[in-house]
Amino acid sequence: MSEHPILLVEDDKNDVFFFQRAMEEAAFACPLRVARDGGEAIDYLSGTGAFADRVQFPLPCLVLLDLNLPRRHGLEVLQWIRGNAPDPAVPVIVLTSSTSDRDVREAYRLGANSYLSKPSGAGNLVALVRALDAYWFHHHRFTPAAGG
Amino acid sequence: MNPPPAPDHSAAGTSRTPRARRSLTLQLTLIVAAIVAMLLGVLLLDGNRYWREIVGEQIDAQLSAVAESRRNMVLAHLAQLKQRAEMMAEHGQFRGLLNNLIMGQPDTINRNYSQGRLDEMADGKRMFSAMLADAKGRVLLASKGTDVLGDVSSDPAFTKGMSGIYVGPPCSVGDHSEVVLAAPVRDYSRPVKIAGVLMMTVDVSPLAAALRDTTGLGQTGEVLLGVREAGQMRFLFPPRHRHDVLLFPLTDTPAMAAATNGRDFLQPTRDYRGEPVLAAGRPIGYGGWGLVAKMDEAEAHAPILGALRHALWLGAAIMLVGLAAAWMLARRFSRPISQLAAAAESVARGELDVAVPVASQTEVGVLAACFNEMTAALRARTAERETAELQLAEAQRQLQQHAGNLENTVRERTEKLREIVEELEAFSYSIAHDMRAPLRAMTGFSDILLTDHAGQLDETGRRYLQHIAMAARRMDTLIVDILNYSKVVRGELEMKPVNVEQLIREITTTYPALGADRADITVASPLPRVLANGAALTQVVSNLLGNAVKFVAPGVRPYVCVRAEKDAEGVRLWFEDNGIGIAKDAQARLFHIFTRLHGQEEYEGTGIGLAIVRKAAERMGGSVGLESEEGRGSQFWIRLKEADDS
Repeated sequence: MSEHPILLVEDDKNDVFFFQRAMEEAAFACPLRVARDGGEAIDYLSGTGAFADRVQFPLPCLVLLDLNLPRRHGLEVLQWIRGNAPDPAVPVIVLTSSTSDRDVREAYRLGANSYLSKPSGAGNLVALVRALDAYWFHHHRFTPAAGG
Repeated sequence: MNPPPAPDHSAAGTSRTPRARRSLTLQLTLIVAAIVAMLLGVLLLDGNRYWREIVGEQIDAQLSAVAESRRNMVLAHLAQLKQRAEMMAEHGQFRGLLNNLIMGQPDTINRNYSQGRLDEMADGKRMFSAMLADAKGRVLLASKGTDVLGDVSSDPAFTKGMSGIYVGPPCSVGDHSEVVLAAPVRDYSRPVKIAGVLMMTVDVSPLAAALRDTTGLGQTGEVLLGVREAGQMRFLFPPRHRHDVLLFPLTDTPAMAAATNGRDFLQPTRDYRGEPVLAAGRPIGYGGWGLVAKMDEAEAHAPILGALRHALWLGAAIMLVGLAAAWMLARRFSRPISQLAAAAESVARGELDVAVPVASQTEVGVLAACFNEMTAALRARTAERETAELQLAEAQRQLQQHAGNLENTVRERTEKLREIVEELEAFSYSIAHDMRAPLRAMTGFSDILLTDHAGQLDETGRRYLQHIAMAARRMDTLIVDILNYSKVVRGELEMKPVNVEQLIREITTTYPALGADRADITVASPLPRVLANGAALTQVVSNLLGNAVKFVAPGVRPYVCVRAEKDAEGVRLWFEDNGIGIAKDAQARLFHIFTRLHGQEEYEGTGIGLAIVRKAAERMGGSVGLESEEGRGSQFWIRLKEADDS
């Protein structure tokens, strides 16, 4: 299991709670860091402000990104990651309740690795987390620089 | 329909008119020239014939006169010669000598006298020799220098002389001509008895000279004297053009042949040289002699040729003058026409400010006047048209301005409207989106309560929790449906050929409610490809199939058959089910949004699905409908355009 955490960018506290609980339910042991808005996500990834300590806030191996975020929109964050982040190749999975075609198209155009709809109901979310675990941490290989 | 191609007036005009102008003058000139040439030709031919006749008659008369006079001259000469011979033969010495000889008496006196007489004769004028022969042809005496002695009984002169006076055919010796003259010498006592013949050679040079005289016969004419000899023609004096030959074939001398045959001759013929001649022939009436007076046709007709040449020169001059006059006349006629043509050309080019001079009151003058009137009318019409065009252009400009203003207004309003719509969309979208977050929380917490804290609640509490979760889920479904509906209503629908069969296969494998374990869905293959938007058609088909399997009587296994039907407007896709059917009075409002025919307890639903179907079909240029009866199943259809590439 990687020492690099998953960075969940999510402004809804309930959804953060549901996700953490689903990870527990799914016995998904990867550490989780949370950014509450777009600005925080960029601060975390660039290691500035409150996130300067890389020991406490190491670079993530995976970013779960909501789109409708305060301060900076999720697509803005995605664009910043692909252009300016220390690890621009970090896998970014969009996890959002938006079903807009335009959002889907833009996300993929800006370099999202996947686009997932937020499921409704605790059971469905646990299934999604299990799928993430299976795909990204059992079958997928990260780039050596990021994943170690 | 295409208009017929317009004829190219300008090109045709410039190429046709000058050629026509040239040919008019040329044609008029040629016509006049042809008439003059014909007249001249007729006059020349007629004159030629006339003059030939006149000259021919004149020459004929002249030749006849010459022939006649020369014949008379020859006859006179002959008569003179005969008379002379007779006179000579009458001398008494000759008769006495011959008588004595016959009597056998020597007569030295008469002999000497006779000899003297013969010598005297031979010395005399125009006589070269003389001799005396007895009746047996023995030469008794001969003039001095004449060595012909002995027997002359076979000499034609002697034999002829025995019966009468004989003049032999003349022959030329050196530069003079001579004839043999024979006369009988009668017995002294009995004059009827011929005692001997006096034979003389006489100079006939004067006769020859007289015949050679070509007065009135021109440079080529001559008078010939001829006699037949052993089937040939012998000229008695050398002809003018052939001094060395006297004998010619009869066929080469037709005029002489006729004269020596005793016939007069007067006609154009050929002479001994083969030259064409005019000839007059006369028999002399002695010894088979004939006389021909002739003249070369070329010389005879020379005056005619001269006259003709003269006439030709004159004709050529007349022709030239005629041509010049004709050309001037033609120009005078064609100049106004040329001016008209040039003016017409200018008009064809669009230059209307032309006027042709009206020189006369002839037809051409009237035409010119008419032309001027026409160009004036054209000018007036053109001016009117130009004014009208200006007005039209002004009107068009104003119209365009108004249209431009209107367009700007419309563009501005549309832009504003679009902004408002976008704002509204964003607003409703974010509301719908934001509404889903609390619903998700409600669902999530209800689930957690029911799984993690179920033991702390009683049966009623758990049921209430389930009601909360169910209500939240229904609300979420409603919001998703509304979002889908608005997507169909406002989204850009790109139309492409869609394989309906494949699309149905994908839908039935994706939606659990349409799986083979829960419903029988069959497709009447093959379905034609249709022109549609894939996402929208997926929505439509999944909604129709979903309804078909949902609205069945309890305990009935759903059955759906999809088939296609082509008609004039495109393709109709039919969805037949074995469901509960729809009452007639409900069918009309079935496709309106939020229309529900059943309570949530019976069949769950939002009342949006068929509204999406209808809206999507309409956005794709199609339509929807149904045929149904309550309790007998339903047949929904959607009509779309068939893809061209199928």
